[in-house]
Amino acid sequence: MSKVVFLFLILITSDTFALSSEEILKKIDQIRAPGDTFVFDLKITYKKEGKEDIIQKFAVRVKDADKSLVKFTYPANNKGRLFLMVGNNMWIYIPDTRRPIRISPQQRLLGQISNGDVARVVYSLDYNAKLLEKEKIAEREYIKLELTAKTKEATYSKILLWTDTENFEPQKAEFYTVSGKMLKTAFYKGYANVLGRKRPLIMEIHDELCKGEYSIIEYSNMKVDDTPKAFFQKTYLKHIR
Amino acid sequence: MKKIVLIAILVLTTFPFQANASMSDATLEFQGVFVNQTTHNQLNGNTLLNQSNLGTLPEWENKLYNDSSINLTYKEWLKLMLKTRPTWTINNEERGSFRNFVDDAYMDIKIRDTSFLTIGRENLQEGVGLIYNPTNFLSEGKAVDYSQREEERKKNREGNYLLRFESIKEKQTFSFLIAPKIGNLQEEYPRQQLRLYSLMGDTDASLSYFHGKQEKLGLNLSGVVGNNIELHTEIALGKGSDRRFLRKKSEIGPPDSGIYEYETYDPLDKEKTFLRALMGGHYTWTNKTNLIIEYFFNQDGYSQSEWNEFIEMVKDADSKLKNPPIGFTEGIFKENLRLANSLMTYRSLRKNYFFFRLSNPEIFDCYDSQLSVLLDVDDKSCVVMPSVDYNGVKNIVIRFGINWFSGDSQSEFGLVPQNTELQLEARYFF
Repeated sequence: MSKVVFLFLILITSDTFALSSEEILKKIDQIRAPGDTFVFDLKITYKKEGKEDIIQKFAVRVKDADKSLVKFTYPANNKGRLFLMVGNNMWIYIPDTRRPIRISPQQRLLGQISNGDVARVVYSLDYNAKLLEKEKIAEREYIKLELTAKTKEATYSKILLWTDTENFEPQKAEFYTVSGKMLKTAFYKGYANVLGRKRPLIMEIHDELCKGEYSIIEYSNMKVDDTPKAFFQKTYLKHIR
Repeated sequence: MKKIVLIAILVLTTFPFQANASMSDATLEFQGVFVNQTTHNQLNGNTLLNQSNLGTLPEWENKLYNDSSINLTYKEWLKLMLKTRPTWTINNEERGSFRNFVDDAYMDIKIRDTSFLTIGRENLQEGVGLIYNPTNFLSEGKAVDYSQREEERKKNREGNYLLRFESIKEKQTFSFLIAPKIGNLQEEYPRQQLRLYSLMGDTDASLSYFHGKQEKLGLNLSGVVGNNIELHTEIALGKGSDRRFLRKKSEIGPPDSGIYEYETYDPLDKEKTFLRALMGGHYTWTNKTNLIIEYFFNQDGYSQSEWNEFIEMVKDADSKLKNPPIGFTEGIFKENLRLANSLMTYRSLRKNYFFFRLSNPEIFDCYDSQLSVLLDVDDKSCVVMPSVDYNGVKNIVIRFGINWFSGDSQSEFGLVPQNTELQLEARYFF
């Protein structure tokens, strides 16, 4: 009997019972997004030394995790523009043209921010995760995940993600191109209690190609709110009020 | 009256530039741009069609316009849209003229969650191509301002009076519209269009059937390959030709004088089916640099033999204008050349075109640059269009652009009445 108990103890303390890389990624996504269907506001500030900050604001609606509708709310000359992302398909709608145009998630929106950074809040939809060696940063140990794109349409080819070992709060991410070049580094900051748990409300993204430039994404007004299915149709965009 | 309208517009636009008045159920949004565009044409008085500057083009022109839109929504079910372009133009040959263009003035009514009824004047912008939209049947015959960029030409275009019903399902959208003939307001032949859109896998597909003076079928396909390539194609099949030709109407003067009065005529290809097709793609680099390449085939364009025939007649009129035969004045030859000029639908005269555009935004943070080339593949003539935008001041964009025409004297872009077109433009967004 004691042998059985001993074996059981070994089992529950071994890696067999540890979370898989995909499960860890799901936990990270649950921290970043309060569910599959929700809304939030977003502010992007692009900073460059010696230059005035450039600010853009958006209202984002997410449905079933893979559908996002992003409405530009500031500045005035961008007002009324919309992004729609359904699965891997992405369109931009400019009110004057009244004709949604196909775009790719990787295209840059402002500063270091790509379209996909705004329209997609979770990683597990687009990336497979692989657990790498734990890594110490500033005397603290972090889980390191390597995320590789499931499809060619994903915003990045590869992402390295550092997350807390206990609560799985993401801390840092590096984003790479197909050629293996590092594009940018993101830091998850501003953790605050929102919709029942601590979530990062600030993402600071530093450009690795243009050193000294960075962008700050601020999330606010996060709410669980459903959006009618019809809103996520390309042809519906021109009817959105 | 025009002065009053102009003053009223200027007074209105001195109000706070952004009005966003929200009552409990209604929202009003007002936005737009003031544009002042100055164009200088370096005229070429030696082309076959423009000997000694026949006056088809002014040397300089200034255009001041306000492109503004008002969007009023009420309780989610009603949207009122008004987009106008009051435009004041002055050039070196005539006094200023004023015209107010109404691109949109329509009501969009939500009948059910996914069904809409649109009534009024709407500038429908259909098709997936940038340089041409052969499937945008309703815009055929509408004036296009080629001094503007490709995207702007489409949005700054007068709309059609129409009634449109649209039903949006999960992956399909069905729409039907009628654009009737309305006295002086809309003189075109009554038109109807049926359109079906579907997202097929990751490809946008739309099929349209148009019935107007002629019947037409249109197909649009577009999709993304990888994360930075977009591909699109647009195909239109339609009965009837839009072309007019030049021919000798009658011999004037003594018999066998070899001097003719010209006329333009419709070839009456009403039953023949013509194909117009465009295919192209965009490639976007991570720094936002964007390359667009498009090829356009227009079966209704001049064939080589038709073009040669046209050029021979133009050459004849040109040489006789230079040295009028004894007993004849310049008038008849000028008129023959004027008729020839009236047929010059530059940018869509021939059958094969190739378009290329490379744009690089945010150079030194405040400059956007662009280089476009439109090549007439049939005669190897082209127009090269470099431009640069300065946007270092909030809400203001200064644009400098050049249209440089190149080609031999008997080619499409070698016949344009100017060598170069220089443009300076200032835009104030509000």
